[in-house]
Amino acid sequence: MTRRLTVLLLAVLAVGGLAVVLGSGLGRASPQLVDQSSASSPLIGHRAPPLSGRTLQGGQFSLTRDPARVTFVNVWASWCGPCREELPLIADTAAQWAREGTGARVVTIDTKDGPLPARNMLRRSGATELPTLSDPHGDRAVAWGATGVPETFVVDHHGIVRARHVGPVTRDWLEREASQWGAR
Amino acid sequence: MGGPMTGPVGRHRRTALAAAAIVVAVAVAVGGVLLARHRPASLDSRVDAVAGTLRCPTCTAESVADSNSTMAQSMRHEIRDQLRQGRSPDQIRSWFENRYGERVLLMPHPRGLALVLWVVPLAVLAGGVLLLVRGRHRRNRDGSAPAGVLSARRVGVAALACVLVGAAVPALAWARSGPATPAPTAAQTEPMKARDWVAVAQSLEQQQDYRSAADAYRHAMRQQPSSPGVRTGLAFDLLRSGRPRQAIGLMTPMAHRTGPNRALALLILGLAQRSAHLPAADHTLRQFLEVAPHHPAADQVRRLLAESR
Repeated sequence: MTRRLTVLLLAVLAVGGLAVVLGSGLGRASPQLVDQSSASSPLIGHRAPPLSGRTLQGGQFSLTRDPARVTFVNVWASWCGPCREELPLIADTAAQWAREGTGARVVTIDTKDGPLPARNMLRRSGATELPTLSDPHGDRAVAWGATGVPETFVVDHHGIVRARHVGPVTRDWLEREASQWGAR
Repeated sequence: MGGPMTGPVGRHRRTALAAAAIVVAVAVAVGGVLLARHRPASLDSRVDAVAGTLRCPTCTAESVADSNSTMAQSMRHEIRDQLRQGRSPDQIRSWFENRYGERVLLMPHPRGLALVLWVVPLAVLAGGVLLLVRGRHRRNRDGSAPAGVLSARRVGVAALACVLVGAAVPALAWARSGPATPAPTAAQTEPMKARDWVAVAQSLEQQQDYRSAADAYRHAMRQQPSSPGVRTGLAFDLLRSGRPRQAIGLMTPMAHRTGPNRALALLILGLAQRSAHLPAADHTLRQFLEVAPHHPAADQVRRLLAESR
């Protein structure tokens, strides 16, 4: 009888323990999940993925060979509606930074897209001067841990990823990040 | 003809048969696993194997292997590239984890809450086996109850524990993946339209990646199954990526129907038949020349027909 009670007690303890674990799991989000908010990325604080190659404009771009004070890496595609709204703002801000010599610049990754629609959209957005790397298979976007378009990453002059923005950026965000990470 | 297997001898024979059946089953399973391991897997199946262990970041409860989203396709492309470079599945998973966090792994590292998932069922199983063995041992020694008979209560407790542990696994998985998923932006969830897929396919054609271009056209065709432009685009890329028989299947109905797209359908069908060494090829290409004698490809087709004479 005592043995049976012991077994029963052990079973109740095991089930109770499991229920507590389950309850805590259901009741709160684990830190890893919270960490995946829209603006975070495991890349932040780490060296930026390599980014170089021939641009749609015909020039060469290299993140490491020609470092700037701050580089904004914007991922977009011509088939993405929010990108169409965002691109003119990015082009305008980048042109202003170049005129003022702030040391901040923008490079874009045109992902899962064709050069023809991409060039058309750059032209329509007044963004023909934005260095743009073609990414027809999407592997450049994946290398940056992008989950969609548009997304923007900030890289400081040491080549360290400092911030990530999901969705269309605002001028305020661009200016704030540029000055925070060393633009004049 | 043997008698019914009753009494101690029959019981022993039944036990021996059951043991033999288990040994054979285990041997077959182990043999199958070993054979599968030694057979060189194709690149496609290796890509699928790795993609099946990664979570598609923009989908709900879908692996990279199962999802047709743009993101999952890009990730599969990256996996293929890395496998070609000789990287191991673990290295590739770690590469993705460095970019997307641990959430990208369908099977997270066994630590913290995940460790409980691993340990509890094993501990319950070990405990159950121990109790069973000890119980049998004691009853055999005491002769108080026939061997192998368990008390109803113990069976009930064991069943309850199994049910709870079984329920715990999906519940915990749900708890881990459910509430804190960031709300994706409109752009991330907005599915690509057929014309976007066509643009992607045309871009891939420019890079001469006809296999991927055909995949893009397939997505477009799922949305616009009757679009002749999408069908001919897909068929042409199937032909150019070495799959003429699939191109023939797509073009045969179009080539027999009158309409503005018949010429192109006949051309692709004829070229696909030629590529598949089918005797109908020349006849189809001659039909193409009758329908569209001034087509830009007509001269080339005439040269082909002259060569085959």
